[in-house]
Amino acid sequence: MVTSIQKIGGKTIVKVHEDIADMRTGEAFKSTLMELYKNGEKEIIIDFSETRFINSHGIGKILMFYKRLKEVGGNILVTTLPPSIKDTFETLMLDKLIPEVKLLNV
Amino acid sequence: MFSNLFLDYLKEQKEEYLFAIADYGKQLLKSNVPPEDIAEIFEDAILKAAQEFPQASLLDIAPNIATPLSELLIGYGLSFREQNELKKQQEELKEIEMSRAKQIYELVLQTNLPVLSGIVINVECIPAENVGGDVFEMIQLDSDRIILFIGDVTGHGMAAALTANTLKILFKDISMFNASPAYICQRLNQIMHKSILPDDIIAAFCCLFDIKSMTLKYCLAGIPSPIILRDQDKIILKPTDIPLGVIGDLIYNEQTIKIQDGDLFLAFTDGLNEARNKNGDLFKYEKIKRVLDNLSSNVYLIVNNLIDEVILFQNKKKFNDDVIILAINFLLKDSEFKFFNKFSTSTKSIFSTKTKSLSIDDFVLGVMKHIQRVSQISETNFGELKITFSELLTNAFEHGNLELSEFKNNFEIYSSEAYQQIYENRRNSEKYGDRKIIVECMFRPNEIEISIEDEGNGFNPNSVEDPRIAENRYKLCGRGIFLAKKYAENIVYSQKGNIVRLFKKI
Repeated sequence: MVTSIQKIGGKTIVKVHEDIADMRTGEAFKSTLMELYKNGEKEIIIDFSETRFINSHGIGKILMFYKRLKEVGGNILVTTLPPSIKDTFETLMLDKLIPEVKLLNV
Repeated sequence: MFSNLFLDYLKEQKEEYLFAIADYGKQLLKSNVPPEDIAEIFEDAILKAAQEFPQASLLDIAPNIATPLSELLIGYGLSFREQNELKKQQEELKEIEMSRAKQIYELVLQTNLPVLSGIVINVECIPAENVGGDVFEMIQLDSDRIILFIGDVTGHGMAAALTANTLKILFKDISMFNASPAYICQRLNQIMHKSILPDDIIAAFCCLFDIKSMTLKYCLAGIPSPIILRDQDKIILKPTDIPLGVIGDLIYNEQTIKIQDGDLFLAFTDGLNEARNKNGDLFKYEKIKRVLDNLSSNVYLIVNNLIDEVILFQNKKKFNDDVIILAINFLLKDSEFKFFNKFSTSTKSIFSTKTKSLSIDDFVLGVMKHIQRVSQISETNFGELKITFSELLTNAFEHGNLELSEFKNNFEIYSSEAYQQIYENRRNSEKYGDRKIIVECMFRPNEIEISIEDEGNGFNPNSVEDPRIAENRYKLCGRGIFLAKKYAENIVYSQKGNIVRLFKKI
């Protein structure tokens, strides 16, 4: 299982259990986000605590839902980024677009 | 139902029942009935026959049982064969399409690197699959300025290559009118964000080098930070923007930084730092920085060594993602500096230089070392190729670009110091010295093709006489082509005579 979902208040936390490193994990990740979007979830937090890596495919999926959620007044955030994913976010300057939050503050 | 047809046939041995049975066999395969289920079908039919003819002994019906049973199997088997052949045809078609797509992607990647005195450029493109999503372009705008673009479209394969192609064409077009990296990226973003899938992004780096003001102006949007190696220091370029294709109306920015003579500029796509070993560990950007500490500042070695380090780490030659590595060395003060530029993809390498910057020996050595690195050429063929190549390169240089034929054929001049003087003068002149030499190596499964192009006036290869004939034996030249022909499988000249192609088996 690539992801699991937990609801805390009005927010949905998507925990990623595997590295998003290929087409299979990328598509599974995308369909999870798609389900949430279709169900009308507006506040999504992606938890990367169990992951080490996300490729540009995966980043593309996050950005796709970033745009979709913005349209409907929602938001996508990330939490507990491991160093390598933090690096990727900084290289792509996504930290400004999709800020990292602490889970405690959710 | 087979059992009905089977019973019908047992009652009256008409051929039409057999046809129907064969058809039924074909249907079974088309409905994906596995071979092991046919045993059950047989069992069922024979059981029904036994019930239908309780009085009959096996001896009575035996002669008629085999035919309908085998007819069913034949129908099944024939249909299987048809299906297989169809699949094979489809696969062949797909292979042809892939190979054509690969050729197109090679063309998309390929570029004629600018040749400027004192700027050494080495580019290596390694696609993960046959076709990929990385794209590279470098254009000389005028005598002082070069503009560079590196793009990395999400993923690889056909879909990414399609976007990469569009990106390259757009970049060429936009950069002709406005050479501001920020403007170019902004414009590319505006156009591309409508022409890519919503979950795709394009990492980009656009950089304008100006050797008059010794600056570089760049827009960095998602490509790993390029690094400038200056003495013992590393200058890391900071990102300016988010990747292209995410938000259509975004304003892109640019930064200007100073460059110095001696600087080595290095840029690469994330296929390099995100290479992974079988435990899933990443090579990492930090490790690239560490590796650079121990590498020489030679553009050829630094790229090769970096690739070798990553290959060693991931323990395989094939990369999971596309990789482009670019190294540029600025050596503008040393006017005598001899160098060549190199642009390499998986099947083709292009070496280029100006006549004034060419050292035949270094060039031959560089090309031959590269051939040895990327092909499986045998030692004998390697030696012969080296002879052929250096003969033809010397011709392109001396007879082609420097137009020295008349002096080389004149014993008085050729044997005097005057020749050396003419040679040096021409080599350092604008007219002759700025002429380029472009060498393309194409690597095929069993052979290497090398083309050498000069900017001279060409010649008629048929006018070169056989050096073995008595009257030619004492001539000063005319042996190069003869030797080259001896050691190559084939040598072909262009109509004008300024391009020669040599073919050598590996």
